[in-house]
Amino acid sequence: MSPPGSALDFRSAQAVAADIREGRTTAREEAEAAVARARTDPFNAYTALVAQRALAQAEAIDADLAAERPVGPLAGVPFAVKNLFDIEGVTTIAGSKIRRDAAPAAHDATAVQRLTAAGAVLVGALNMDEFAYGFVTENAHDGPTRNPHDLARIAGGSSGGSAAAVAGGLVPLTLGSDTNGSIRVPASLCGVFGLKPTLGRLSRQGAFPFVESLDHVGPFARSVADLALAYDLMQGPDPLDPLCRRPAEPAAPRLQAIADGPLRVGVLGGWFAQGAFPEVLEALEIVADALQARRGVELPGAEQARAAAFCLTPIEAAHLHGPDLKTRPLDYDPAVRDRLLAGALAPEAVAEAARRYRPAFRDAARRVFEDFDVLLAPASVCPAPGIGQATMEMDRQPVSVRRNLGAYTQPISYIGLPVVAAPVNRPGKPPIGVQIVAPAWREEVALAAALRLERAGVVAAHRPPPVPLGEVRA
Amino acid sequence: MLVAAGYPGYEDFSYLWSSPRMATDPALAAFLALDDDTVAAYADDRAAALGLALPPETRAGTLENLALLRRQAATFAMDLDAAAPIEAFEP
Repeated sequence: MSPPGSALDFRSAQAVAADIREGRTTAREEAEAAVARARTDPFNAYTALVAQRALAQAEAIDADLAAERPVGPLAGVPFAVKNLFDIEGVTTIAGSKIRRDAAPAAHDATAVQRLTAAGAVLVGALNMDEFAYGFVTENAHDGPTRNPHDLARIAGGSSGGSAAAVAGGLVPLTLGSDTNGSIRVPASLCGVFGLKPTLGRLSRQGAFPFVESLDHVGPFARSVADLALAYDLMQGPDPLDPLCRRPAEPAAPRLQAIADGPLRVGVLGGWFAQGAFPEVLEALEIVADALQARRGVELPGAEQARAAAFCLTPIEAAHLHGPDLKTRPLDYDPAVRDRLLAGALAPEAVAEAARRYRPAFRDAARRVFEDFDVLLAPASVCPAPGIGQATMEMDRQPVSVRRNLGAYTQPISYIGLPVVAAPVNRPGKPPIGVQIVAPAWREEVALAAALRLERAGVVAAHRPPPVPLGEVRA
Repeated sequence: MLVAAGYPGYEDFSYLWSSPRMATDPALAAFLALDDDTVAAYADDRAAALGLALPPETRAGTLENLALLRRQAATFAMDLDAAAPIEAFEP
């Protein structure tokens, strides 16, 4: 256990909860320590703290425990959320300047409500690419989030603060969103676990929209067990998100049995191998060997699916931003603004074509899954690029970092399949993650495959090297 | 709740599924027929029609991204079944 204060803490969420339940520490001490870590955050992961709320909730949990009243499975566990999630009393900035003067949220987002109901203690809000449009978290207004494994490198995005906060030992659990890869890419670059559930599995109510057709929310954690528990606690229908209709189907109780059983595993080839850095393919091989996977499985149409997601994103997002693009375009992050403007100018028929192609690609994926339980693919084309790095080489050609980090994630989120991003165990090397993709609504299979790999030591969230604690920021 | 938060929530996007337009839409065909040299004129016409100003700081980046969208759209929009309706997507 780390002492209260600013020392980074790498216990799992469930270990923290056990320490509190069994009296080795208190929820108040844990909340104070998490707030202290946030105030000295060396990664620029946090953009806002809710210290009073955290301490008040923690004291209530301690009172419940003292009175032997029942508490939730995450009682006293600190967590934080990407700053596009509504937090009651806090303005939801979604990484933007545009929304800094908006009214504070009247209620927590559904996902925040559900984790809070399970006893988790919200500490604050986390940095992101503006309006979730990016893979780098080099935010023009709040600065770049730094990768805990190398402060000169990006954390990935758009949920970069969420990945860095978990990887760096600020909190054991965070929430992010994933439209084109924004959970999976930063999880990969920061070396933590992330879950992008099936489209519609978890409620997006109270998360600032980006691309309604493609938006997902999900957790980050340092273990499969924490990831599965957080996912289970957030499941269940929500009338305020019409896509979220499915009854809860808890995964955690089923993981051991599935992990111990046979799994038919394939490694996606074709589009999912083009341009990948050699170390990314080497990491994928390690995982494929461990799962005795069949190589070179083709998912027909993946390149077109990526292109369709690429086009659908700015056109649909521009609908939401139309008024602000007309009246205050220069208040946007330039990297986001120019893509939204292009989306506004492109004909709506392009977006309609992208929506029309979607079921065809989904059906192609369903046919592939007739022979496999999970499919493997890289989560990113490369380890974390440097902060400010504009280009990288893919297939010996210089290409844009921002446009290509999500090349392997976009086809999968386009059809809403569940994915666990798992960090390959490469001690002392830059983190690289793999995507473990399951059929729709079968999150438990992807989680079980990740658990099998974790138990075998093939995937693991490593502690980053020690870093100097930063200045007080909040 | 969502009004108080000051932005449209996820229940407000039903318009996305309401259009029965075909992939052979003339607007799509015209867009796909552009080349990188004609994107600028197209963008100016569209911006004027939409009442959307393109400040000088935004122009180069916007045109570059619009040209990229055209190239990407060409990879999937050409061969679609124009008669297929757009379904409310289920994963």
